Amino acid sequence: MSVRGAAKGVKIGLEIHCQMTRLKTKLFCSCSSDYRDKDANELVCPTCFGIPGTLPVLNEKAVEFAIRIATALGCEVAGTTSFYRKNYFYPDLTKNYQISQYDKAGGVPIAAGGHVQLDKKKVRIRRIQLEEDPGKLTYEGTIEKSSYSLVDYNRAGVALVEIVTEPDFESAKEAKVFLEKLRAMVEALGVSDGELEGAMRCDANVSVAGGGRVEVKNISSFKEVEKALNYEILRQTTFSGTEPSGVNETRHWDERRSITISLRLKEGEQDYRYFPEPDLPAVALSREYVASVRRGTPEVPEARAKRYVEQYGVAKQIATELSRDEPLSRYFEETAEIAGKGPEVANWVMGDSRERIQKMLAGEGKRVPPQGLADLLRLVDQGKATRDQARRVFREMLDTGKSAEELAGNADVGVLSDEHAVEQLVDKVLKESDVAGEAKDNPKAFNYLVGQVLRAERKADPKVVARIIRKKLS
Amino acid sequence: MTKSKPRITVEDVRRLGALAKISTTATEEEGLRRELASILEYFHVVDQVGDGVTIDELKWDAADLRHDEVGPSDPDGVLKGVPQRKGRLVKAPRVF
Amino acid sequence: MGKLALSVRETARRVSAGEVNLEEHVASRLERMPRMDRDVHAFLYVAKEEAIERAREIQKRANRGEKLGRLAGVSLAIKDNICVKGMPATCASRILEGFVPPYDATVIEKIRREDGIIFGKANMDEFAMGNTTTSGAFGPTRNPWDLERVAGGSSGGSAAAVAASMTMLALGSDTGGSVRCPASYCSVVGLKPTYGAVSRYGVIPYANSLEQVGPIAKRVEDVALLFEIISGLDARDSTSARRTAAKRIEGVKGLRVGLIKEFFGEGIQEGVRKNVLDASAELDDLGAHTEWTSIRSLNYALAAYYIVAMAEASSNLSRYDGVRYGASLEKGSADWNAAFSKTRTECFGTEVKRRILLGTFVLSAGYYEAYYLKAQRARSLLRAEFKRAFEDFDILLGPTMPVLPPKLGDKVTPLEDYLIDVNTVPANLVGIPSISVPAGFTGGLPVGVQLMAPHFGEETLFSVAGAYQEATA
Repeated sequence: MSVRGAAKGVKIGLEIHCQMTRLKTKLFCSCSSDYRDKDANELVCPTCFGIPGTLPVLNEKAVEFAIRIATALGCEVAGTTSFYRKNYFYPDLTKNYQISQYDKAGGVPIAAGGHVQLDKKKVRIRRIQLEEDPGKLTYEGTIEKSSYSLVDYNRAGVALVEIVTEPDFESAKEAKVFLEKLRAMVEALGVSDGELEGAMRCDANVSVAGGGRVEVKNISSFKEVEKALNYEILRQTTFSGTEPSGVNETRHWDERRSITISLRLKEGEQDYRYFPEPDLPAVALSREYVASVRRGTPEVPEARAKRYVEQYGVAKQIATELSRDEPLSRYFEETAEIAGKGPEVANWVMGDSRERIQKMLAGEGKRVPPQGLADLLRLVDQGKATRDQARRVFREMLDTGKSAEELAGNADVGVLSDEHAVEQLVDKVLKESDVAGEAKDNPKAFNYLVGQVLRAERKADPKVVARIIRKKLS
Repeated sequence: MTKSKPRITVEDVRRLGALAKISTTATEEEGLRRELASILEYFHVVDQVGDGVTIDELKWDAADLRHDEVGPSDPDGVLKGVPQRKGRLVKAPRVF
Repeated sequence: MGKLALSVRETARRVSAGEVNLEEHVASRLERMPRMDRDVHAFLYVAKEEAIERAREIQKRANRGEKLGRLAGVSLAIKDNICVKGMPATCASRILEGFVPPYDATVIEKIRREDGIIFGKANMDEFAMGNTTTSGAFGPTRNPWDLERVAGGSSGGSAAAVAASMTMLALGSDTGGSVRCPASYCSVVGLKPTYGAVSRYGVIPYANSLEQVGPIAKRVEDVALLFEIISGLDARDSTSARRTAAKRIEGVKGLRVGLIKEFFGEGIQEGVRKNVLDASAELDDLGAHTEWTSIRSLNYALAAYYIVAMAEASSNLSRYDGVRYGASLEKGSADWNAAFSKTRTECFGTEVKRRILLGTFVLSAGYYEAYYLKAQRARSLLRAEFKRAFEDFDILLGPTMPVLPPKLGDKVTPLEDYLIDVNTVPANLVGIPSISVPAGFTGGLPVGVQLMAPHFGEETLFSVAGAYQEATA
């Protein structure tokens, strides 16, 4: 069966760890968190190194950033959130426990229950939590040959936000699209430089056709995610007959060989003995606090697009594209606020004139303020100019910096209100044109005729022309 | 869990040892088992407390937390105490 | 107070006034220290050079007429679980042999700022787990009043140093009675402050939600002064608190004292009972009004204490694996699991290992609710009952320890040993301050009386304990 084909009954859930690289300090101490390209064990202090007697002190900005992400993902922020210890031994952990959050036994992570809309799929977010990154384990030469490991604790204590989704993905491709969207989002939120090496890591849970859930760990980059997931789907589909179903398992993605390897857990299994971190009080997140964080959060394109649809009645497709351009969006909003005509302004701003407006906003040429565009649209509204005319006027406004009124004063602008005159023009065109016969059934021919009338008389209203032609043809 | 006497076995002692990275010899295990059993049995006096009692907790206002401003690190102070090093890296046992 | 030595205030005044050759004084005391400490073994480390250097430096400033701190020239013993930069901190454990903290605990910074002179690090039970100071890896501390008996624990070295007049002051730590117990056995004053009153930054933890650094001295007023100096909100300790204004009671007249019935239970030795009731009668003579009261949830306080303490300890002690400080892993160990286990198994003492295993058990899957959560709920109930009691009483009173100092080498089972903490653990569970004051001797051995006040009621304790000490001097 093809790896790229859609397998049946595929369920994938993701557990993403995102470093909040825009924080200046680590999660629980004031060491700089900017550890890339530093000498080993340079950004360490007694606290993040786990020296006996030290205590964690929570970074306020980390809480803020987590709330930004929670808001963008539509999650509900907890009223009180608390930290838990996850106890296990590993050389990259300075305390042999990780300060994290927990969603059972009374633990409340910082946010829960949101969703992300991919094109046709809604992906539910289970929870968002804060936790600290461990240090980095390296080896001299290869793991096999070396008799010891080497640890750099620069990264130990760096703030992570863990985002866990429900198993709503049905293909590796969907998962990849989601991850890219998430990366763009955390960058737009000013929380993380998702492109940095190691800034976003991901584990996945994969099950096929109701079989056992397999956890796939050690996926180092987004590129690897799609490969790893496709491999695992194929593996489960192909071997599902021979393995007992319903077995939950952990597997390790081997990048070099592009396969997943089973990690047989030792008997006695991993029991993390979660309990509340006694050195950190619970954090009360008042409504006021969350509201103020929301106010200070940069708006992500998704949210903006949604707002344009709901607030201004802009068509979804247009809103989505428009929202990705920040200056253009601002221009649109300011104009729409004055003109009060969301869809029209959006069409205008995203239509023929888009590029010229973008250039204008970038500082080239004359500036047409939102009021100016609003005035122009009002003229169309009042029947004093057709859309075509207005488009031409707008171009002139961009070139000359003159106002709509000024330019509208010229002979070209204005709507011919004398229908009789229009009728005469129509008669003339119909008589002279050889497509008149087809026009009744052929929209292309029909439009051609309208165009011919307009060419003869620029001030004719296309709607009126069309009406009259239709009448004449029937 | 049940309110009956905890039946702690030598297996349990070994399992706990594995979790806590403390190994026990065969001779120690039985003695430990008995000690732990008697202590755990004593602990059961807390069963009197109902499950509905709320647990007090300390609380902090988010606005009062530490500001995100870089402070001094102390790499030399910290590395000085490391028993085995390779340059600036800390030597640890090899992990499979 | 004529029998007691100079107070801290008086000492600091004399040093500031240049009436003392501080450097000589300190040097000669430290010269005699090994002899003095030979039998008692209060110290694990004597900071001879550092102390003399400090004395020299303070003397210079005194000679220049500069204003000196409130502890100018005053000697202190610091329990070996409190980090003093440049001095070893072993917690009386082999696993921390060689560990020298690169930083000062907050309480040490405060002491230095007031020109206190640290004479050395005091012996303790390993990782503060115990009430005898006999479980440490480097030998026991003996009671200065009777060298065949224990000094109490886990801050035995701190209390003994003060009792034997090796230092004027000491700092201990009290998780379940570890300051008050040795204070009682050594006939000195020891305070366990309100939880959060003193910063724990730099204190190597046994049980984070229960412990506080506690001052030890011969006089209540010196304990009060040292408490004043070391307490205060610390940004580096998120569990530290700003002192809230507690109702302060001046003097003993009209004081409402509650005798806790459960503290005078079956296990109380007769001599202890008599002395403590005498102490209560003494307070009544001074104008207090005493009544019996009962706090029912004390029934499960000890169990709740040990469950929580061991759970927290099992996690706190995970970091000791020989990689980053202290005892080193064997070089070239092949398997990391085996390497970690070897170091920890060999370097932790028996009691520590026992508590780690128990703590691991009560946190493990399937048992967490039945033990740890239950214990935390028990704590809430206890807190509520104490709160109610403090509506009727200003002070609650009882014996600090139910027994007189045991003989070294007395064999008891672990559980029998834990049961001795029954009177001291409630204050840790609830977070209220508690002070132990000498209540005379019986059969030649010291008895301590324990006074408890509501949260941040230390001033009340100092006032009452001070009046009592004055009256019985």
